[in-house]
Amino acid sequence: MVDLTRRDVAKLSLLGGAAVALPLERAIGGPATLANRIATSALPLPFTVPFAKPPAIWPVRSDATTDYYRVSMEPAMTEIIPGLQTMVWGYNGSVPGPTFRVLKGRQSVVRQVNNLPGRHPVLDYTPWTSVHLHGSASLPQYDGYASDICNPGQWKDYVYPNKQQARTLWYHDHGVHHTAQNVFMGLAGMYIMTDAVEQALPIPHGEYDVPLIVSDMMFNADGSLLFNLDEDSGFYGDVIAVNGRPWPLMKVQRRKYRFRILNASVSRSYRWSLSDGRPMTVIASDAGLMAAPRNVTSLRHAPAERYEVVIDFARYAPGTRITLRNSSPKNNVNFANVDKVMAFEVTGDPFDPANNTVPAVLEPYQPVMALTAADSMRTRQFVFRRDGGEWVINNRTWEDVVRSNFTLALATTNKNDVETWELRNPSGGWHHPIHVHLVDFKILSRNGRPAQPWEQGAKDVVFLGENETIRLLIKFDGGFGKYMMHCHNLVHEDHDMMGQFVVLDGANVADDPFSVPARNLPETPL
Amino acid sequence: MATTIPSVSSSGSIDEPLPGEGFVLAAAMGAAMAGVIHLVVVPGHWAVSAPMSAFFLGVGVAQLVLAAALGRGLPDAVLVGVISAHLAIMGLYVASRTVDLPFVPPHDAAHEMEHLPVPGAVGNGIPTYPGSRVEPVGVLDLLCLVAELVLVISVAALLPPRLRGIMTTVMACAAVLAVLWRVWVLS
Ligand SMILES: [Cu+2]
Repeated sequence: MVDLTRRDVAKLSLLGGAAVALPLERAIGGPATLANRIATSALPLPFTVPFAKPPAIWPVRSDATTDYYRVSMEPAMTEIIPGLQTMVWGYNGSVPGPTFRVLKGRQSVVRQVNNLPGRHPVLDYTPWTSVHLHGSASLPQYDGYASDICNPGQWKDYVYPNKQQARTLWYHDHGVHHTAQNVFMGLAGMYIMTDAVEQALPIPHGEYDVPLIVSDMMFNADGSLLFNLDEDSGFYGDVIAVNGRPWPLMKVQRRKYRFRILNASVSRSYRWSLSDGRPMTVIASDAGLMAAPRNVTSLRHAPAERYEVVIDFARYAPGTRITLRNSSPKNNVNFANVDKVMAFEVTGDPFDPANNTVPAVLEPYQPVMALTAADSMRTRQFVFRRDGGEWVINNRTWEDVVRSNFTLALATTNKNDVETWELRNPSGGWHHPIHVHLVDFKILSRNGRPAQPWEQGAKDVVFLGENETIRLLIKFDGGFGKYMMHCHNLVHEDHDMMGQFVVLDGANVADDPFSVPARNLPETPL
Repeated sequence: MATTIPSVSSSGSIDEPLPGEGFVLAAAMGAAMAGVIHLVVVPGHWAVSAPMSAFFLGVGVAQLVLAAALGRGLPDAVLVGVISAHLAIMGLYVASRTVDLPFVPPHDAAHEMEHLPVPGAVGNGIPTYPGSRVEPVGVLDLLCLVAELVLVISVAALLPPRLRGIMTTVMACAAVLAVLWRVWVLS
């Protein structure tokens, strides 16, 4: 004979209730990733943090032909949100990385030492790296081939020819499987190449030639970076940082400034405009100066694209504050202040009046821009699609390339051939910034219509919008061997929207991407 | 205040205390059902995690043995052991549905894709997001949980009053601690 007391029943109900309710509450409540997100009220007010340029890097030595640099990829604690410390991974501990300024014709050798920890503190992966100099026609073994990795405790010397026209390049991590996370941790920086043509122009130079590296970030309440990855679309942060500073305020003089805007965001695309609606002058794109400047009141900017924009502050009275705004292209995830980027406060300070113009002709001799559709020898199609949980190019992924022992190619062409590449995005639910390594290209058309005004220059990334078909004209004159092409929404790239193409050069054997593997520490003398 | 309250049973009327056989039957059925469910999920888990599969196999077999043994009458000490073991199993279940347990394999899209080894790599390089080791709640596992609740409640009912009071207090404390922990994690 047994009997349960009321008290027994109450106690047992407590057990039953908790056992059923806790799993259900978690299942309904969804991922707890955002639970610790910093409150918007704890973020700095826009335009209260002073603007700063990234630091510069200098060669450790130089000889007749080459400048040698040493970079350590390493963790650092930094104050991004005032009053809080954030653990980042930076080139030389700096986020963004230090800015290179190199002269066309002088080769660079950059030693990259992976001094990152053995495991990511939150995401628990081994942070191998592969450094890509984006915009450079580097040899395959120095191009940051995704599977040519450098583990923590290893190093590799990258050789950059610097033979192309002056341009704004950038270097960032390209390591297979976790490029998005490594770049979000801070592994990105600017690399500016100049040449005689660019230096001779009376456009803003020196202190008036300013990098703006824009990335969106997200933080936990304790200041640590918050990884909120939406496998479907990408990473979208609620803080807009320029050169690693949230919504900064820059004091400017009453003259022209040249801003080298790099969208280093993992996934977010932007549409820039000034708060007073007045025009900006686009003078250059990914692969350098355009033939002629273009005035625009707004311009769209996909991840990895670079636009050089001149803003003339002479038209404003001292004390005027102008903000750079972002009217977000569709299919981004938006938060309270992502419509703001940074502010300019015009001062009455005296300024250097030299190089304060934008001539009507900038760089008319960009070779790819001289090509016409009639020069094209063949047309290839590339369809960028989502296939289940994966992103694919012509139904292929990087995993397919790996499985083929790195022989599978989306295209095989010949050195100096000219081709039309037709890129198609059949979806209205997302866009893809498409990057082709090695080459500069000309945008022939966007859904049959001309490219946007700001795209009238040589490029290496193109915004492939929703339901768009874009035709590119490419001359494969930059080198030969295996090179990647991929979506530069780094979440798409990692999952697994990346492939390769092969450029043949007759009987010449190309260098293999794996021919200069990373070496174990200690380093040899540089 | 040992107030007797009416309980549902197949034989007893509303005024009579519940006969022990009803609880024995309920406990045996709970154990049998939980045991079967554990055995059913063994093959599906084999490829993902062999240790987890082996754990389910062990628990399933033990629960079926328990179901058979309950009818013969078990000493109180064994009944206490059965309750304790099932509190641990249910605790593990609740934990696996609410937090990242290090021994549970992550199951987000990145981990479920095929990834061939990277030449020269240390590890597989796949980021593991917080929450990706939290197992989703399914119909089968909820059923199993309910069966185990029936089992422990029925076994508790079979204990002599004093021991039963201690065990139900232990269970209630476990529940309160779990809820408090959850509230603390969320805050
Ligand atoms: Cu994409």
